[in-house]
Amino acid sequence: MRLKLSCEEIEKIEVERVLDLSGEVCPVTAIKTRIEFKKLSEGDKIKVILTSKESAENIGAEFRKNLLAYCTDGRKYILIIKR
Amino acid sequence: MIAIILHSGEWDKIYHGLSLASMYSALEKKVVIFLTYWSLKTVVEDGINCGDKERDEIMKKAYNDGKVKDLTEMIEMGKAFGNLEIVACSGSMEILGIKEDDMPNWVDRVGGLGEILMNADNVIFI
Repeated sequence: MRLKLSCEEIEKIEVERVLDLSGEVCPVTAIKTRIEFKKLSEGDKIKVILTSKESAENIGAEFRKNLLAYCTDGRKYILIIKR
Repeated sequence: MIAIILHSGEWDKIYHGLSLASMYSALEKKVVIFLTYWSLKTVVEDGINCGDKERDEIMKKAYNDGKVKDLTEMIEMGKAFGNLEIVACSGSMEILGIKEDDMPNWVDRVGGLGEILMNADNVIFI
């Protein structure tokens, strides 16, 4: 699967957890993502919603081995991360 | 273990030090925040005081916009990983006349500089 999808395609992906970090910035975005990621079991997926481009890039880089897909839509960024 | 020694009482520096600690903890590194001197006074008081009008304004706006959290919330995020301990310096408490029950409950214990430095591989001073 290509990494970059449209946000409509992203919405179709089934996930076990959703983390809405709209309005949050670093380092809170990175720390809260790690808190939720740690709760996932093997193979589970989490959808992380952000409005900070920098945070989306940081988390995308930090979790690049686990990044399944992402999309951007105006000021909204969604990452799908798989444990 | 990483020791982050907080000396300054300026709120933004304390918040930054706690952010470092929470991130280290999130990255599964053992970290200790050692509260010394003026940082003890700030954690006992409420309010955002950076010791500089302009910085106060910027930090208060960021706080109201939800981009910066209160000290307790930043600490709880770090403690969620189980790698963060917060120790108050007994010497500083004596100098400033601060007692243990004046302090917020997220302060785990009172300790001395010797044991902190003995176990520290890295020290960050703020």
